[in-house]
Amino acid sequence: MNINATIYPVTIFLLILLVVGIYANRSLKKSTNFQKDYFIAGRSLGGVVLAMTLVATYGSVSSFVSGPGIAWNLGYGWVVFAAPQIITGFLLLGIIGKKLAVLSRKTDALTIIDIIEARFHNKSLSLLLSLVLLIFFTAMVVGQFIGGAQIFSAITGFDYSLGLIVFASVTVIYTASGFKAVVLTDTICAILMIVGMFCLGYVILDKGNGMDGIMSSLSTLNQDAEGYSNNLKPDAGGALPWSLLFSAWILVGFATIGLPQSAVRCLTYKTTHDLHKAMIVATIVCGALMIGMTLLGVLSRGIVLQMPKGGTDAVIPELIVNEMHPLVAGITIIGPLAATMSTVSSLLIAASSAIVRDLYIQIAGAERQARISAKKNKLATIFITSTLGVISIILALYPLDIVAWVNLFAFGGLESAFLWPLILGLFWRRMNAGGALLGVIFGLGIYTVCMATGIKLLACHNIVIGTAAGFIFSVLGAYLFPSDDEKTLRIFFPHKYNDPEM
Amino acid sequence: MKNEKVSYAEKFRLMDREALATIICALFITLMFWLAIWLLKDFHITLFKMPLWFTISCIGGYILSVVGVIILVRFFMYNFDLDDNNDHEH
Repeated sequence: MNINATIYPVTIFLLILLVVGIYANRSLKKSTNFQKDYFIAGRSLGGVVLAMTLVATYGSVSSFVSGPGIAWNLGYGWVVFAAPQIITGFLLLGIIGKKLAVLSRKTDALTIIDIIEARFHNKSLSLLLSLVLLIFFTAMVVGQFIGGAQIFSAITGFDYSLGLIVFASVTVIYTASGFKAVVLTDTICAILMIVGMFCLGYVILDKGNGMDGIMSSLSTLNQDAEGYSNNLKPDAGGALPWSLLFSAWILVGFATIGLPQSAVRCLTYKTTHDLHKAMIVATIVCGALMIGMTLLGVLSRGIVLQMPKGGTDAVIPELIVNEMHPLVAGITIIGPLAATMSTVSSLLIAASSAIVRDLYIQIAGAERQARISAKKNKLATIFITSTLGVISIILALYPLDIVAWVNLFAFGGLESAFLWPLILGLFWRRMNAGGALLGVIFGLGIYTVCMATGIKLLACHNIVIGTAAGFIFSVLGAYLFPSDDEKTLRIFFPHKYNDPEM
Repeated sequence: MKNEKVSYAEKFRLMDREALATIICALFITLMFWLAIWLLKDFHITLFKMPLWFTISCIGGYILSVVGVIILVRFFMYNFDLDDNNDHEH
């Protein structure tokens, strides 16, 4: 082990997160409604924190490492793939943000599955979605832990397992303190992600002799017959089919409305003013980070000249290690670590809520859940969050192929499963439990089969097939099965009824 | 941005309108982005030291998105109480 000065800023960062976790935990002691405070911070979020937690949850280790690595290889075209994220910041908030807030207050929902249960009253649907969420989230947490630990060990010189245990334990400890700790640390993480990006940008421009120097190196690479570099083309000279670039607008653009870890944040803010502010702030920060990091990947080609031994994933770590002063490197590496930890904390607490609320209520019944004493409830909830964290750490220490494979299609899988029950459930009165169930089964099923077998439609990303199948079967089911009961529909669609009395 | 007491049903009418405005805004940005790429991809010239198509579509698209969301929030989103205290259903 060759530990260097990079470790100091990282240590301070981890300590700050722990302190925030302890602070949030103390405020939880005064709580009168434990689950409401633990899972959604008592609906108390302000606009800036809401924006930051959304961006931090969304921006993961791959936004910092894998994405820029691919951009290093393919050039400006990969930014076209990442570009849909300019709309991601406001889309979900603008379309379902307010309805989820109003309906979760009306129905006392604390999770997205609570809302879906309130809309469809279907045990099988809620159980299925809880399991989907739990499986995908766990795989994603493990993937994040592995990615974070790799960059941690590459830059600090720490042993992979030791580094993993240190930073993953910190994440699990503060996450177990509840949603308030998650969003406060998310806000810190989002700011440090931006700081990390600026450090990287400065070094790239400095060492690459400015934009002129970098552009002249880029334009000599991978030239086509006319002597024009493929790295300067939007389709990377054919390496990125147009249909794939179009489908990115679904995968990381429009379908992100269906990501439950993002959507659950709509249950947590205080007023409509906060939502509006969050839409603006999230758009500014999300776009800047996603376009910015990918662009830095493109430009890093001016400095990292040869493909690193570890492949494109090693480009950014190599850049940090070789080109930066250890202290600056230590500040920069906080960026990807923060991205990892803020994604993990949100997934972990949502997975915990899927067990504590959704699965348990579905299996044991709401009455039994209500009878459990407040103290037991609290202990069990914290225990489940921590246990999920520990399981994920163990799975990251001993990686399994199956977990890595599930993680690969978790993002699109969550979208295929949750997009239509949410959108159609909130905006289409005709939508019913049968439609939702058919849509989830076929949308997710067909997406999974296509991913597993490598079947492609016109070189599109399979999310196109997944969301299309989900939509078709949802509509089909909605017309095949009878409508839901009027009492529920009056809660979800009060404006479609002329008589105000219930 | 109006700020007044609205009934539970009226909130849903407003929220449907907001969702429509949001999706139109997002589709407009998508359209502009692809239009920029479509029109400019064959010009091998640079703007601000980056390929012209890139500066206009990606950097310009980002700015358009920020401007778009500000217009969306200012003129197409409504303020109301998220709690259901002031309705007549209970």
